[in-house]
Amino acid sequence: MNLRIGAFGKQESAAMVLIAAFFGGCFAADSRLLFENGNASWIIEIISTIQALLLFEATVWALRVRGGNDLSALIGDSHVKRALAVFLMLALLLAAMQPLQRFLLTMTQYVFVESKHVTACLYLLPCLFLLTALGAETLVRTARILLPILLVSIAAALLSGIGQYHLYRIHPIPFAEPANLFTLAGGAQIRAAPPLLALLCIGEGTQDRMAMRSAGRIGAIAGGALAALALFALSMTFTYTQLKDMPAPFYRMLVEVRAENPTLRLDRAVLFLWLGGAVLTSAFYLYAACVLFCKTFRVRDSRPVALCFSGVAATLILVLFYETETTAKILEHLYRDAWMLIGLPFPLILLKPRRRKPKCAASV
Amino acid sequence: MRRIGLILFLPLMLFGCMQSKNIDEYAYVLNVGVERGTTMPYLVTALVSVPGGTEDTKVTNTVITAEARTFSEAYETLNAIYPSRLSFSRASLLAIGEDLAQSGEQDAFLNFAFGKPDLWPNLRVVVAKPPIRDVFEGWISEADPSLRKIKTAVGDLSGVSGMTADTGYSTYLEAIGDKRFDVMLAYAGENEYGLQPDMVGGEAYPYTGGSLLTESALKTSTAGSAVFDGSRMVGILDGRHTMEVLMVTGAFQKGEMHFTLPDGSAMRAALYRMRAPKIRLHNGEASVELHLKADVFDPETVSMEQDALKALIEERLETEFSAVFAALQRANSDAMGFGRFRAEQFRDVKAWEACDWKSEYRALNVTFSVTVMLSHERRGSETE
Amino acid sequence: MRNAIRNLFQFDAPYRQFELKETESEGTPSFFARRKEKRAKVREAQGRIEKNLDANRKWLAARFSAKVNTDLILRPFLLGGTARALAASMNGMADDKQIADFILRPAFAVRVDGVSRTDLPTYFCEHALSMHETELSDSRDAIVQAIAEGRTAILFDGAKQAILCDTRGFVSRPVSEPQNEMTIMGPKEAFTENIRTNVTLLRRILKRPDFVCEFRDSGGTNRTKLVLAYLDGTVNPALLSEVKRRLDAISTDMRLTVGRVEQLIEDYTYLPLPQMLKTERPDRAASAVLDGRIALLVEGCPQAGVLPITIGTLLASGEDMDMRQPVGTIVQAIRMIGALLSTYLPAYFLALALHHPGQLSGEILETVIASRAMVFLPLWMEMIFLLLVFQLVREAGLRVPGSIGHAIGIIGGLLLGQAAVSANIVSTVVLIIVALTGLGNFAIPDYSAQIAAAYYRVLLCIAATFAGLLGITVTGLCATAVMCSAKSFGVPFFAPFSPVTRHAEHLLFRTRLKNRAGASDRWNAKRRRA
Repeated sequence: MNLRIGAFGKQESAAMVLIAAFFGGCFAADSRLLFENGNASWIIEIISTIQALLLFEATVWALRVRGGNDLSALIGDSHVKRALAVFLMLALLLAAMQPLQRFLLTMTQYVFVESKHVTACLYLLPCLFLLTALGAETLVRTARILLPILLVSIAAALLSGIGQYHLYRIHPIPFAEPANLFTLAGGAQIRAAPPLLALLCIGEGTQDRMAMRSAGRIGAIAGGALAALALFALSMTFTYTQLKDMPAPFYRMLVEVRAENPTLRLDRAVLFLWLGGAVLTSAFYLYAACVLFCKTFRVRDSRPVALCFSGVAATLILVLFYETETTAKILEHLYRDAWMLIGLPFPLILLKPRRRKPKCAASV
Repeated sequence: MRRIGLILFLPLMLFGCMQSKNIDEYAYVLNVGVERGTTMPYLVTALVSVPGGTEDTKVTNTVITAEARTFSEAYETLNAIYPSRLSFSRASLLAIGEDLAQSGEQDAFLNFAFGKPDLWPNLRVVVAKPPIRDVFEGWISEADPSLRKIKTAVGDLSGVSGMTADTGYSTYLEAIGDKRFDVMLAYAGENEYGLQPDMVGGEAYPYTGGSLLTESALKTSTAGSAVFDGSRMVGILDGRHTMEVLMVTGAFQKGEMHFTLPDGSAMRAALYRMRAPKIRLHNGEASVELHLKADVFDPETVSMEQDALKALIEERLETEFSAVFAALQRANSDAMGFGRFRAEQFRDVKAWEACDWKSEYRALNVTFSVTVMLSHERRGSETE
Repeated sequence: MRNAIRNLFQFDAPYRQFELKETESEGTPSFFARRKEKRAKVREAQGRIEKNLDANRKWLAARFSAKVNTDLILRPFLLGGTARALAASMNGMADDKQIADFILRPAFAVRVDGVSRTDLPTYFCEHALSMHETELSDSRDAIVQAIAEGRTAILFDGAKQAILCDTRGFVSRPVSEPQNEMTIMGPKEAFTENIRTNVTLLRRILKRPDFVCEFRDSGGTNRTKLVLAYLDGTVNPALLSEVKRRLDAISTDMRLTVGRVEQLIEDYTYLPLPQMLKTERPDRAASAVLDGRIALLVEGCPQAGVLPITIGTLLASGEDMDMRQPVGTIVQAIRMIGALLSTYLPAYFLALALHHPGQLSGEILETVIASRAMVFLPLWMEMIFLLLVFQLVREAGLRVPGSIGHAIGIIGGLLLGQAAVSANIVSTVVLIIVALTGLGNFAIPDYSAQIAAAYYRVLLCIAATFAGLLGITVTGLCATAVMCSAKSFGVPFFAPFSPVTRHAEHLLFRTRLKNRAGASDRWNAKRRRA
């Protein structure tokens, strides 16, 4: 088997989950859907993180009870279970697509105005493939290296915009129907759950179930909190009516900072640094999908699958870029209903009856 | 793996080149202005800076205009008439012609997608007296060709003195798209325009206090502000009234005011914001509490006791605040931003969207309460 | 189809030229020929010397091609005037004086009456030979190797053993100052080409009983001497056995140096960064050994290879720990900034100037544009041209003798730069950027890492030309990922930062120097620090 999972520590896997949770929370969502209910995205982010953590804890518990180190140990060999695995793979594929699609949109709208999105996508594909093909060990180690730089850039972006924050913009907060918030958070599971789902897929590399649980908890809580903080800052910078129409609100927040005569603007540098984080996140999800595929369908090498998955992801992003009525509808469904890909198979996997151990033949 | 990498790399080399131009093939637009056109709906004016040239004159500033129906059309026309490719990435000021602002038709024009012409959204937006070409040319000074530095100084002054509003394009869009407040923009024009009508008392005020008397002096400045109802300009406030509106919105930091004393003499005081204004809004009644610190200039010339002086300043300010609010209310402009506090009372987006805030605003009663802390160390004259 | 593709990439039919083929003189070898040759070689390697001195003499003459190879000295003499013997040595490699004084003179004086022919070597060794390092051997291979190394083999008629005496006395360079790793505070000694001297230099620093210098022969016919220096009980045994396994796999006829050994035993051939630190400073190699690593010395190479390494090793200088913490931190931070500038600055400038001019302030724009007013080359070409010129000047300066080398640097830097600006080939701003890049590059202490940085720099410049900051991001991310996936002898390249280990030292800030015992934990050493 050449799945390239390798072995890595708690800090690296937590860093990867943190990055994925942050980028999933802040950069994957469609602005129109995220802000249609007002400036409550930060509350939804907190609730959805808690929901995802509960799901993760339940899965780790199931792993402990049934024995096994990763998600594929929970998914059996039956055809039904394989179908469930396919659902999860699709969820990971979609989760991988979303941040890239948003960044591609940002790039073509704000940065490379005169270039085609195909050209920009051409740059992402080899990078995505390389990262996916290099395997989990490389991904999490790269994440650990990138994390401090990303944290500094995020902190700098949030702090530099402090003059633009006004609390009145977060109103009206939709607390009137708390149930609605929980439903919205459930819908956000396509962004909140994949970091932990991907960690479960590569659980074998964390060497220890407890280490995996700890990494998942730390990464998801820190990533979710950071994403919620960033979304809160965003909510104080723009009203929800503005945010609904912004394809890349975080980039807008960056350029909102007024420096009359800056020696060097750094908004683009920060944007592309974040793009690096988004590509890493997508590669992490794609690799997790690869491992799930290889283990479920007994494929021995992850690299051809990685090539295939990154190609599919890039192609889908490109196809969905052509603005037609159909693609608009598909996109809306992807962003609104994709949570079902995680919401449906997970309970079924968790509720799988415990396999009875065969009775040992009595020794004579 | 290496072979696959090469296969993926090949299309990148063949088709992967992003559109780019050398840095010296651009001319940079610093200011954009839009006003009513003669043959087409809009006249777009651009102040173009061309870096390069000789060591002595590194920059050449030129003003170009084009009539158009839409922003993108104007963008293309400007590019067509100018020999270099225009880059809007360094634009820092957007001027809306007064005539266009009064009709409220500028939104149709300004509703361009941010980013398409590489326009930074953090432009300073001003209202300018047409023709904007004159306003832009008034900014060009041969003595100091670095227009950016001059504009920085202008921007800083508006922040320091509180006499003009310093509004960004995002805030402008926020005011247009959301009903929480109405926008107030700096009012720019040439110094020779003379008197401007102030919407509060109906009196005219001199456009600027003075002008530089050198040959290469700046001929354009900003003073006072244009007040909007939604996207329509409804009046002009002079510097003092602008300062008072900014005090209520919380944007005021420091400034200077003159007060006439009972004996007819004038007193000058520097005012500072002590804490954020406290605004309460309930059942059509609003109360505004303001806390300011005042430093009196030349205290030896003021004959009043400190307590009496404090009471006088507080009373004058409260009266003026009420007058300014009444004028704004008449013009249906919520420039003081009471709508921000109305929105806080909603827990549902739909309910807030269904609320007709502007009709509530027209019936709003506001009481202003000003507390001034006179500095014990009265300020001496600036020349001391 | 194949022909069509071949024709597509082929301009003309190649002209007939002389080509040396193996089979031309000897014809096609038979099917079993190679196996037979191999067997003969094995037999010879296992061969023992004959009792007959003439046969041994003939064998030696044939082995060293004595007819043409006049370096081989075969000196026959009579031991005690009766027993025939032969001293075989290599001219220039062995010390004539030692052979005359300590072998031949006692040989003529010794009495061998009553000593059997077969016991002659032992007797001569014990009673006459006044040499410190001697060895008895009957292996032909060992004898040949000894002669080649400069030792003298004494063969006796009627005896099946020969004495190998250490008479090495070839000319070698004395210990001098390091040429490439100059420091202000640290020691001023450098390794030489003599492996014995190098071991001594290490032993002078590491005066402890657990310091082991394991001598090994490389594979192949040349049998170059290699030394593995490590602390027994501290070094990770798995690492040591893996290094030995890889060294054992070397079988080459090439002349070996540390650089070549590195290439033969490394994991990632296409990674631009080195996987072994090559240092000419004994103190640096000794520090590495004390830290639980292995130093590799190669005969004839004035450098030691240190393995495994991490990115921190490549960015550290020998005198880092000699400086006090505040000063060391500043130096380290400046070096890191220099390394980053050297790698990213030209590409970042290209990206901003070609794709994102709005990111530069008006004043910078004006300056850049004014400096480019008359330059006819496109900006990217200007940058790549200057970077190439910089490398050219550097290489030219390195390869010519000292004083001329300095002159070339000055000519390249001043005259060429000035002339290029005057001729409107390059602009002053780009010249300044390339100069800054060059300075940053020299701040990287390791030469191989400097070259690797230059490689990444050009790659990033091309990417920046194509796609601005997007290109830099994608290339930078791929490079980081590749470096994260790489390991130097099993140790991840970014350790102790990723994976994090307990003894993580900061790249930017130097930590306080404390008393410590044992090795760093990133090599999984046996005896680690607490």
